[in-house]
Amino acid sequence: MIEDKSPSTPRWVRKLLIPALIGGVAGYAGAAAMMSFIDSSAVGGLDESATVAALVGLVYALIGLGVAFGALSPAIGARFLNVEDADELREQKKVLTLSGAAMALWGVSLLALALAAPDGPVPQGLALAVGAGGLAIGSWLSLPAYRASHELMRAISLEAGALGYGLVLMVVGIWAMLAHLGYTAAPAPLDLLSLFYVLVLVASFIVVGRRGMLAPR
Amino acid sequence: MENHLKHHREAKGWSQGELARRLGVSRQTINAVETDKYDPSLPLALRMSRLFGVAVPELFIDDWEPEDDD
Repeated sequence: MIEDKSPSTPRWVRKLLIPALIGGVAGYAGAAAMMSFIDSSAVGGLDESATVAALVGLVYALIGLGVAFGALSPAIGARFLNVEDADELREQKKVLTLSGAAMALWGVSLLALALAAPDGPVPQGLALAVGAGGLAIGSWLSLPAYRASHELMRAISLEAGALGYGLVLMVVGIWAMLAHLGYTAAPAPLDLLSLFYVLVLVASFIVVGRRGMLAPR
Repeated sequence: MENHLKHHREAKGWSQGELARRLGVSRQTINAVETDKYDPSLPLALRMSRLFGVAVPELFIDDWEPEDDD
């Protein structure tokens, strides 16, 4: 077990600063790479809806891969995931690996749709296969993940689902109302997908925060 | 809900991980209960009660009192 428990490293540095830096750098590097790719000759630019969807898909993929990698490599994962030690990751290896894989697949699904032809380089048939396949397989993986979850995680999943539904109803519902009355343009299909993804993530963070799970362990 | 779980756990000399293992839950669950961020299900509360050999009201504090019928 390779754990950084050196007393010379303050706890807030190990548990707050280093993970925040890793997340910030990975997020910035990923977003910059994605924007550069979108603006490259391979893609030739995308509209706002597709660009936002691509970035949201990338965020999901990065978070999912980070969680799955951390669960599969606990000694390293304990350095950037908010757990007490590597053993906690080992104890939850199955749940975290499945959840991480599901999230990464959902991200790839949205990413494929964002990069779909005619504006993007991915043929529509392939984008549909990856989009629908990623969503379906990710959802299928989330079932054993839920069954293997412990009591607190199940409660969080249910609460986040309920809050996510409320947020979707408020945000998408209000947007639809305004569009119906002619005050604004109707959301594009990719806008709806991006909103579903983002609002579920926001709901999850709110619920996890309320349970004290964002505090450094 | 306020509770004495940490007190009873420490009296046994158990870590959060050890208690979690004995109860069949995660450390996060124990941590969330001890810090009043999560109220356990009735089955888990009963398991805690049996494990520590105390009644549930001795583990979890609820100030509610029934109204008098008079």
